[in-house]
Parts: sequence; structure tokens; C-alpha cells
Amino acid sequence: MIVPFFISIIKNIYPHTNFMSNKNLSVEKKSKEILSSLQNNSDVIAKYFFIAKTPACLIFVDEIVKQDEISLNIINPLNNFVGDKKKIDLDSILNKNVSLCNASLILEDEILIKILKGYAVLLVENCEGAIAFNVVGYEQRSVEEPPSSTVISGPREGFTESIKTNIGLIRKRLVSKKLKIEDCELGERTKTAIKLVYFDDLVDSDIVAQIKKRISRVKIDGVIDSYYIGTILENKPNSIFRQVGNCEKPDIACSKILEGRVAILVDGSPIVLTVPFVLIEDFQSSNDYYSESHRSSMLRVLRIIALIMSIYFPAMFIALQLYHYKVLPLKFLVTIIDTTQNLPLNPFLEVFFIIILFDILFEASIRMPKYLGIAVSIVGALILGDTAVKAGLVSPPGVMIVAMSAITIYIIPNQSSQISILRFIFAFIGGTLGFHGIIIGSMFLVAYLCNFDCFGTPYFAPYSPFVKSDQKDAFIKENIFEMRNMPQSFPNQKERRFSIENKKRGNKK
Amino acid sequence: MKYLWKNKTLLIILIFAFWLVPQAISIPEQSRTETIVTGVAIDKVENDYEVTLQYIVPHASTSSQSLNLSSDKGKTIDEAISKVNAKLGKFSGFAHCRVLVFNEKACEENFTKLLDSFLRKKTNTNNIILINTKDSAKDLLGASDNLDSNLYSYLNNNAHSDELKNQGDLKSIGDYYVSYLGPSKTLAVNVVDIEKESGGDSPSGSGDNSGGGGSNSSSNSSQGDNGGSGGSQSNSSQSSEEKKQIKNEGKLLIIKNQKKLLTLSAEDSKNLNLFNQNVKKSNLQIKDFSDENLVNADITFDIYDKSVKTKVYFRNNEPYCDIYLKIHLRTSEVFSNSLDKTDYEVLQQKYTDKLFDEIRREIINRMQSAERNFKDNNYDVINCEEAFYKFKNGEYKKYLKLNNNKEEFIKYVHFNYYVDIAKGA
Amino acid sequence: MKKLVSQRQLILILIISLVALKVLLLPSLLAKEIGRDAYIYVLIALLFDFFMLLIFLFLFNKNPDLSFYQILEKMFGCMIARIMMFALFLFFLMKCWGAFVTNYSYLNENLYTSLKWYTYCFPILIIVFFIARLKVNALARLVEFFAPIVIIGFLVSLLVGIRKADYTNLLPILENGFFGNFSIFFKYSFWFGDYLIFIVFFGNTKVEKKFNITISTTILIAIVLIALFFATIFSVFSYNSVSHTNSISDILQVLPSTADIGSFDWVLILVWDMALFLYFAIYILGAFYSFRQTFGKKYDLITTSAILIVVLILAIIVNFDIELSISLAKKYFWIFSLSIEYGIPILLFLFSPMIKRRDKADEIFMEK
Repeated sequence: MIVPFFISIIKNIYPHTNFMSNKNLSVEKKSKEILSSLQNNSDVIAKYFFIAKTPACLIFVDEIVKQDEISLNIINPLNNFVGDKKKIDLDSILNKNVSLCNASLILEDEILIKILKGYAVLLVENCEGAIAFNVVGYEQRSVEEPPSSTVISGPREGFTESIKTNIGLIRKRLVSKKLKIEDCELGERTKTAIKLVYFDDLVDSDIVAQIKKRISRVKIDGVIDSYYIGTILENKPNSIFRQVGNCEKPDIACSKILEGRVAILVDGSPIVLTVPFVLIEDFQSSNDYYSESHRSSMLRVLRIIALIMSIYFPAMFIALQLYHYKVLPLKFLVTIIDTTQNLPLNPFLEVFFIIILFDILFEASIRMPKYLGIAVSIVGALILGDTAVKAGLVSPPGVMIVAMSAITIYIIPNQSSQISILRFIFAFIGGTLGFHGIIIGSMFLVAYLCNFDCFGTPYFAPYSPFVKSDQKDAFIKENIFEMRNMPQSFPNQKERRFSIENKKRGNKK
Repeated sequence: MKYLWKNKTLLIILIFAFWLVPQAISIPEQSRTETIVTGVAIDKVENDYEVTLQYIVPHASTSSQSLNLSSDKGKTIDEAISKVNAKLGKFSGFAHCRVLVFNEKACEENFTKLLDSFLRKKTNTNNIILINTKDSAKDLLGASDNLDSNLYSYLNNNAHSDELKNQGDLKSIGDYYVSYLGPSKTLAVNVVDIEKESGGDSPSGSGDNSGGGGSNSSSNSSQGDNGGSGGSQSNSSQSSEEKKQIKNEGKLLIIKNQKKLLTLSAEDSKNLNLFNQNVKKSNLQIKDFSDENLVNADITFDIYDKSVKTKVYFRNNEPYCDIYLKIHLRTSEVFSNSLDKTDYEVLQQKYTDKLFDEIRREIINRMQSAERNFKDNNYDVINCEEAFYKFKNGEYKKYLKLNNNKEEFIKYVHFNYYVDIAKGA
Repeated sequence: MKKLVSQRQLILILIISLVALKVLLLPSLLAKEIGRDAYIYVLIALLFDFFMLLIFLFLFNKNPDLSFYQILEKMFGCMIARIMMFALFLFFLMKCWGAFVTNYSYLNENLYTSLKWYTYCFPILIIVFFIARLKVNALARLVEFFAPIVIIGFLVSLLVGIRKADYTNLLPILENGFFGNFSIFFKYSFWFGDYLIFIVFFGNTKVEKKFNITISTTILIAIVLIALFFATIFSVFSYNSVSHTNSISDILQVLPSTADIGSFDWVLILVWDMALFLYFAIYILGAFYSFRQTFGKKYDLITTSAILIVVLILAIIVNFDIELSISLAKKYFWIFSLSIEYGIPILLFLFSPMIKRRDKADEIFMEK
């Protein structure tokens, strides 16, 4: 009893030494076990060689490692082993012989995971454990501007699928010792790396704790995209409204982190999530912060008008024709009457028909090969715009209204799916109940959203509940130097963003 | 299904939605079930009322919009409208009705009977303008069958036009009821007529008060036709068909106690409009004037702005009304045999006191002429009695008690006129 | 107790409840019976309401953490407190019914050719049911979201009227004396007393700086504007004009360009539809709160549904006829509303020294 006790103490001190262990430490046998665990896949390579007459084996997956690094920084140095050649152990290999920076000693049960993640794992005869060399070399996209977040002025870098690159893009901008990056992992079969990035002195600790708790309680097969994590974090995942923010650009992510939010990066996804989220964020574009504030304010108001147009115009068009024609000015009314003469469909069906046609066209254009795009757009324009009207199936005002609504959806790209669903719902309500129904539906929608709380943040903040200090960056946007306070719509630890010294009086504002 | 059962609110909403969908799919546009009426004409024919509705006829082309007429008779207005509805096969929608024309016979007794039906409609009819015409209201309404130049557009343009100086402000159904339920019970309604021309070019209208706008006149639209494509009738200046042109001489019809009282001539209307704060424009002629600058000159002035203030009081138990008139005028025409050349600056800058006095005298004369008219005929369209009622209520009631002459109050009011002239460029 | 409602939200709720019902039918009803001086009586009645509100504010400041029921309990004991809460429940129910029927008549008159009662009722009831089941701060946020639109609509309507108003139409003032019309005016007490909704927010409103002054000033300004609105309506249409039953939208008819470019009043009709809906939702909450305090906290779902069904049944009984509803309100409800509106605050003021201790209030609203 005493002997095993002492053995266990020594094993703790020298974990990688085979000290009266019963395990078979033969490189050949171990490597064969590993290869069979990995289904003897042909892309799993086991390279046998000697380190000063001691057998060793380097195992890696061919497609996901950098072959050059293996040759230059692992095998070559090991072939010229420096150290006691009679007593080769993993420590001496790691500390004296390998020029690769990112290498570490790992335990037996970590070997498989490391191989699958793109590490090259070195097994040495009579050594317990292994050395894992980070030679991950996936093919990945270069950093380029994301298609849905183009700007006229401002940075154009976008996140990629590599979490390492993404962290690098963030680190490039946030140079602070308070920046904290916490690791998580999710997915039984994907082991997706997740990183939480935030400022320790800004963010509310409850939010971080909640995020970690929600991630940890989920047991999922695999996480392919950050959308999975977003769904896990939402209070009401079945709602059409998203409760977690996202962005594709590092400058946006960094500005959100600076405001006291948590950014969640997921390996394999270029979309970075941010929490807490408020609806007004989708009305803010990065362009607003890199251009004149008056112009930005005007554009924000325009986005709200566009939102109203996209949701309500088809509904109002139907309601006006079916229930409330008398509110239209006479000349408008006459134009509509003239153009809707002899149509086979009533306005309700007509608008739905056009909306469905438009949506089909949009979906087809996304999936279409590019060289067919021009042909399809001509066909779409001719069929919808011209032929259908001339054939008397639909009316020109109807096509115009739905087209306007369809285009204005994409002024707020992050809300496009929600708006297109709401458009359908309100068109239905307008057709069945008229204006009163539209009002009641809007009440319901707003009440439903007012009940949302995302990590302690009301969804409609800073408008409802009204937060005075946040109005400077809500529907209007003031000059950057006017926005001195941190956002108060969600919990954070700091109140002031910055202060300016008054040169005359020498006082800080 | 389970999800729906769990989310009961959604289930109820879906049930309700499926109930409403058939309704939404099946109902046609409102414009197919309601006629869009743009004007109404009421003629009294023997003991019946003939109501004509002017309505829009849908066209495939939107370049010009034609209007059709449809009329029928009835003992009451509502009955006549119902008959027209039956003829057209649709309900009449008065939401876009802007003008109501009635002929003289229709207002000879019980004018409120004409309007009561409109007042009780769900749509707002208070802004429908009232127009009187001497002969046939239907002809006046049908004088234009084009939406861009129909009667209402014509009147509206005239009311805002700088060229027309004598147009009174247009009175609506709401105005009628305000006056009818007030102390004076009197309203002045604009009179518009038709000048029928046969063939050739038509004259531009009589007098110096004619409507400057003019409409695209056309031949009479078909009577009693259902919806159809009633084509627009083009201007046929060379044809021998009867052509109608709207003629607005600026006359006014006075309605008192629900009846027509009298029709004022253009001249009398012009004089009466001097009391009206809303009629800013007028003109003034001085004939045979001489002073240090002019000899025997005929001068026409253009009054382009005017403000009228009234002050009422009792003195020695007699009612007095002081009218303070401030006018802005400019010279528009000077004709004098003695002028060798048109001396533009003479009158623009050198209005003499004598000329001012002459202008004042002329205006006061005109106002006194109007005063004689409304005193002789006992109508108070200038709301003088109402002013006493509002501002001197106690004394007014005492006066009425003592004198027992409420019906002829206006006759006993003493008017004083004060005219202030501001010369414009 | 959790402070769910902010000061601004409370003020907006009070303003909506103050304004929503008064500017529809009331001006023309008063014009017919009282005449052009009705605005004076309205101002006086609103000032009375304001004083009652001050009493409530005084109570609120004295006991910021207690709910209204707890205050009543401390003053009068459990039994009387429940009776008073039940009376308030009936008062709120009456108001809900009034708003429900008024809104139907408003839409039927102004926006729809013919609006079927079931097409009107069921959507509203379903959605109010949903809203009533939310937390009170969700309703407060909803009001905060839409109230500015309603206020802007009211101000636009008022400004348009002021432009066209001839205030000499209000002369002569008090031609028939002051007290002559007072007895007539009492019968309109149903339309007043909206400050009572404040009781729902006792104990769960955040008291920020200058709480009393802000609320008092804002409500006073609202009262003056409402009285000015009445005066303007009578000036624009002249007290004796006939068909102006929905004053807030009718007043836009005097815009000079109305005829040319179409009537704008439909925009205000929609805005006021919002206001009436909010009013209805707020008073359903009030009814639910008072009922819950009377009978305990169980069966919230059933309570909410029952209240809505009762409102619907009451509306069906009068066949959604606004004239019948008004005559009922004037004949039978006025005594009850008068006693609630003025009786309760006066009693509270007199018995307020009886509250000695400040205790923490228990949770009065369910949380999801």
C-alpha cells in the first residue's frame, strides 16, 4: 500500500516518465492503437523515425497540417538531437530540440483530439504521453470585405472562418491588458472552439456567467456555425426575432466590446455574436461612425422610414382598396381604379401573388450561377414588370408597392428575414381587418417585443424604456465627442467613455 | 400540432385567421361597389327634386378622366339618390364630393331639406361647397366632364386666382348650418351660371367680373347612364352643337330662414363683399377725377388686400356699428385725355390727399349702398347682430326686450365707416 | 419591491388615460347640453381631478414601497379595503366598457363603411388578453412607445384648430350663469376620474428626482391643453354646429388643403385608435389588479379571460350602440363614478395618518 502511494506521488511529479508503470509504451503498438481508433483512415499519417536510436513516431492528418513546418521544425531538429542520447525523454525534446514555439506536452487521452484538430503528435519509445505540435494548416479564406457589410469609408477587413485569424483581428485593435479571452468548447463530434472576448472592467459579470452557463448546459452533436450558439443563448429561440447581435467585421465587434458587450467567436464561422443586443443596433451601420453625423442621422431616419414602408405598404395598399378607399386623394384613387379594372384577382390575392413571385425571384437569384444572373433578371423584370401587367393579371401600382417593399427590406440587412415574414403577416391582417387590424397588429408586435429581455436588456432600449443618454446614438447620431457616456441601455460597469480636457480652464469635462 | 396546442394564443389567432380568409379573398375593392361622386346637382321640378350625381367613370387610360351624370327624381333628396343608386347598381360614395349645385327653385322654400340628407351621411360632407345657379343645376354640373376642369376645380382656381377680384369666399354645408343656427340665419351663396353658345368661338364671358380660369367646355354628358366608358367629349369649337361655358359674374344668393331671399347683382355683391374679411380683393373705379396731377381722369384701382374690423356698442339705447376698413391698393389703369404720355410715376408716388378722399368717399358710398340693400331687404349676412350678441350681450338683450324687434334688428343699427388706405407699389 | 415602471412611463400612462376618451364624443355632447361654456366646466372638473391626484401623490410619497391595497388595509382593515378595491374594479370595468364601445363607434363612423362587431372585438380582445398577461413593465413600455405619437397627434390637431379658430365664438361667457349647468355637468362624471389608474402603480414605480414636480407640472399642462382643445373645438365649429361627434379627427377638416390632397383626418383616426387601445389595455390591467387584490392571487388566466368576456357581454348588451351607452352612463353610472372619483381620495386623505409603519410590499404582479 505504501509503494503505490509513493509511485503515485512520483507520477504526479514526473507524469511523462514510465516509472514502474504496467502500460505498454512501445511506439509501434501505441501508434497502431491510435491509427485503428482513427478508423485506419488513409489520410492519417504515421511517420516512424529514430531520435538518436530511440524509436519515435509522428502522427498527423495529412490535409490539415503544414507539411513544411513538420519537416523543417520537427523532424529535422529531431534528427540532430541535442542532449543525453541515452536518456531521451519528452522534456528534453521539447525544451532543447524543437524550434517550434507552439508545442506542448499532452496526456494519453488528449492524443486523438489533438491529431484530429490538426496537431502533429510525437510519440517516443518508453515515454508516457506525447508532444503535440501546433502545425494546423487548414485552407482558409483571406481577410476580405464581407459582402453584406460594405462601407463607403472605413475599414474593410472582415472576419474569416478561422478563429485564430479572427482573434488576431480583434487583438490588433484592442491593445489592453483588461481584454479577456475565455475559451469554451462545444459539440461532441466537432469540438468547436468558442471564445468569449470582453473587457473585464466594462462588462457585467452576470452576463458572462450566464453565457457560460447556457453554453455549458447544452450537449450537442456538432456546432457548424455561430448561429447554433446564438440559438442557445436566446431566451426565446422560437421567436422570429433574434436576441443576439452579430457582425462580420472586426471594427464593429471591437466597438461593441468597447461599449461593454461580450463578443462570442466560433471556430468555422465568420459571424461573431455580441450580447446584449438591442433592436436599434440593426439600424446602426458602421458607415455612420465613419462619416458626417448629420448625414448619418438622416440615414438612420431613412432606415426607419424604409422599415415602415417595407412592412406596412403592401398591407395599406390592400386595406385601402378593400375597406378605406375614401381616404385616398381623388386623383390617386382614380389612378388606382383605372389600373385595377378587370383584374381577375382581388387586391388581397394580387398582392400575395406578387410577393410570392418576388420572393421566388430573389431566392433563385441567390442560388443561380452568376453567368445566368443577367438572363434571370431580364426574365424576372419582363415577366413581373411588364408581361404580367399587360396580361391583366396584376396591376402596376401593386407591382410597384411590392417592389418598393421588397427593396426597402435590404436597407436593414440583419432584419431582412424578420421583415419579410412581418410583411406577409401584416398584408394578411390588412386584407382581413383593414387599418384597424394593422394598428392592432402593430400594438401586438410592439407589446411582444417590449416583453423581450436579452441578458437584462430591454429590446427596445433606449427608446422604450427611455434612456436619455443613449439617444445620442439611437435614431439620430451625434458627433463622437458628444457621446461621452457609456451606453446605459444594458448593464455595464463604467459610466463614462472618455473626457476632454478644457484647455482654457484646465478642467476635465 | 403539439406545438400549437401548447401555444394557445397562436391557436386562437390561427382559428380566427382561417375564419377571416374567405372573406378577404371574396370581397371586391370598395370602388367596385361604390360610385365615386364628385358633384351633386339638385333641381326642383314641379313638386319633385331631381338629383343629378356626377361620378367618375374608370378608364384604362389615365390621361384624361371623364365624368358622367346620372339623375333621377324623388319626393325627397334621399329618395332621389336611392333611385340613382339603383340605376347605377352601386351605392353612392360622397367622400370625394366637393360641390353641390342647386337651382333657384330648389331653394325657394325649406333649403335645409336639401342638405339634411348629406349632413347625416357617415362621410364628412361639411366641406361640400354650395353653388346656386339660375336655370338648371344639372347643366351647370355637366358643363365639364373632365376631372381636371370640373366645376370644383374651376371654382377653386378662381377663388385663389389673382385675376379674379370679386369672387366671394365659397360657402359650404357646414357654413350654412353655422349661420342657420346662429342669430342671423342668413347665408350668401355664390351664383354661377352657364352661357350657352352655339358653334364658333365662344366669348370669354360678360363684364369685368367673369371667371378668368374658364373650363374646357364640352357637350352635355349622357343622362342616366350606368358606369360604361362614356367617352370624353372634346372641345368642338367648329361644330354647331350647343356648347356650355361656365360663367361666374360674382353674384350672390341670399338665403334667410331656409328660403331664398334675393339674388344680388354683381355690383351689389361687390359692395357687400367690402364687409367681408375673407374677400381680400376687389377693384375700385373713380371717374372724372381732377387734381393737380390729373384732369378728368378715369382711374381704376386694384385692392389687393383688406382688413375689416367691427366695433359694436350702444349709445343712448341705440345700436351702433363702426366698421374700420383698411385697404391696400395699387393703380391698375389710368385714362385721361389730358395726359400726353403715360406718366407712370404720377399716380404711383404722388397720391394727393384729394385722391385719397375721393377713394374713401367712393368706398363709403359703396358700403352705404350695400347697407341700404341689406336694411331694405332685412338680411344680416355681415353677422352684425351676432357681434352684438357676442360682445354686448347684456345690452343687446335689454334692447331686444325693450324694442321687441329681433326680426329687424339690422334695420336699426347705425353704421359708421372709417377707411384707411395704404398705398402699394 | 421591484421597481418596474419608470417615472416617465407613469406620466405617459396618466396622460393617455387623461386624454384618450375625452376628445372624441364629449365635446359635442357637452355642446348640445351646456353650450359654448362647456370648456370652463371641463377645466374645473379636470382641476378637481388634479387635486385628487395630488392626494394620491401625497400618499404615494409617504409610502413608496407599499401597494395601494396595503395602504388601504392599513387604514381601514382588510374587509373595507377589499370592498373599496372591488368598487374600483367595477369602476375600471366600466371605463373599459366605455372605451370598447367608443372605439367601435369611432371606427365605424370614420373609417369603415360597416364594421362587423366580431371583426372588431375578437382581435382586440385576444391581443389585450396577451398584453394583460405580460409583466406591468412590458405594458408600460408599450405605452411609452406609442404615447409620443398620440401626443403629437393631439398637438397637431390642436394647432390646426387654433389656426382656424375664431375665439370670439366663445362669447358671451357664461351667458346662463355658472351654476345653472353644473347639475347637468355632474352627469358627465363618467368621462373623468382617470387619475385613479395611478393606484395600479403604487409601490412599483421608480421615484426619480423631482418626481412630484414633474408629474404635477406635466398633468397640469395636459389639463390646460385639453381645456384649450375644447375651447378650440367650440370656436372652430361654433358651439351650435351639428355633426362633430369625433372632435379629434373632425378638427382636421378645417385644413385649407384638405379638399385638394385628401383628408388627413384618417391619419389621426388611426393614431386615436392606438390611444383608445392603450386606454383599454391600461384599464384592463387596472381591473385585473383590483380584482386580484379583492379575491386573491389565484387563477390569473381565468380572471383575465373573465374580465374580457364581461366587457364583451356588456358591449353586446347595448348592441355596441354609443347613444344607448351614453344615456346609460348619464342616467345610472354618474353617481357611482362621482363617489369613486371624489369619495375615495377624500377618505384616504382624512385617514392617511393611520399609516404608521413602512413595510415592504409583496410581489403583486406575476412574473413569467
